Amino acid sequence: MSLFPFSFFHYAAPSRFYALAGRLVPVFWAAAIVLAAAGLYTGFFRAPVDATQGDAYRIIFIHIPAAWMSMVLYLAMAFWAAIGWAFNARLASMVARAIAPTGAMFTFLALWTGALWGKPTWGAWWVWDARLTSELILLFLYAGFMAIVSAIDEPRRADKAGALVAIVGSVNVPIIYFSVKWWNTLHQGASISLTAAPTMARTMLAAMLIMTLAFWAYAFAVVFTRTRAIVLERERRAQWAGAPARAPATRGSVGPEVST
Amino acid sequence: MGGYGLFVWGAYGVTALCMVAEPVLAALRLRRAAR
Repeated sequence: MSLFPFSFFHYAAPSRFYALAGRLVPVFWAAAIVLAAAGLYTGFFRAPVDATQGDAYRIIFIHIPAAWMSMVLYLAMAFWAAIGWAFNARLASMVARAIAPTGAMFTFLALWTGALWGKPTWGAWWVWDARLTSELILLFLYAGFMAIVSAIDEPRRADKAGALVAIVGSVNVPIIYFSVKWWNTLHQGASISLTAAPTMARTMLAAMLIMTLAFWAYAFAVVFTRTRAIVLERERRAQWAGAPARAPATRGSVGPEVST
Repeated sequence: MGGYGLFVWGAYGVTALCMVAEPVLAALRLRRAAR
């Protein structure tokens, strides 16, 4: 008798994951909206004005959550792509494809909000600093992943090629994280550490962490929605996806198109 | 915003735009796939 009431691999089937994700997406949206409202209220109405940066620092409440999500989502994308490649698990590859656009968006937002924060504080929209440059490379890696999986027609080959890009590119994530320690950078060091007390005011920290959770819930909602779309696109010939029953192909007839 | 309004609202504005557009595009893709 199994120790667990369900199999961990029960939802590895695209049809079962499709149904589960459909039930979870509204929950994640509700969480994202509530958390974002709470985070923005705390950040704009409870957190004080910064002594040196004035109100410009309030960009932190979207900049840091976006930067964290850009890195976390890349590692998640690489993880699921690796699982899809190693175990020939097509749902895992579909999830990796679903993560990529959201991760790229957060990377762009981290760079955009960082530039808008850098101009009033550093006097520059952009510097070729280790943190900024490695985050820009992350954006290129996301773009490269999306380009390669779109360029190859055969889906399983595309999944494998994408997995290679994702796995090799994952070395960039610790480079981004540790860049402020390894190099002499303009970008400030970590405000939050597992081994030391945070260097920011409590209300500022609270708002930032709430916004991080909001972005996380948002990411789940959007990635699950996109995964459901990809599942339908790739499983359209399956009966559960509503494919009509087909008559067997007769000699000399044109076969069905390969789905992408 | 103490003179930093352009920077703060520029950051929040583009963020809001992206975080509205992206789920709309994902939902449209799902609707197309479901047809």
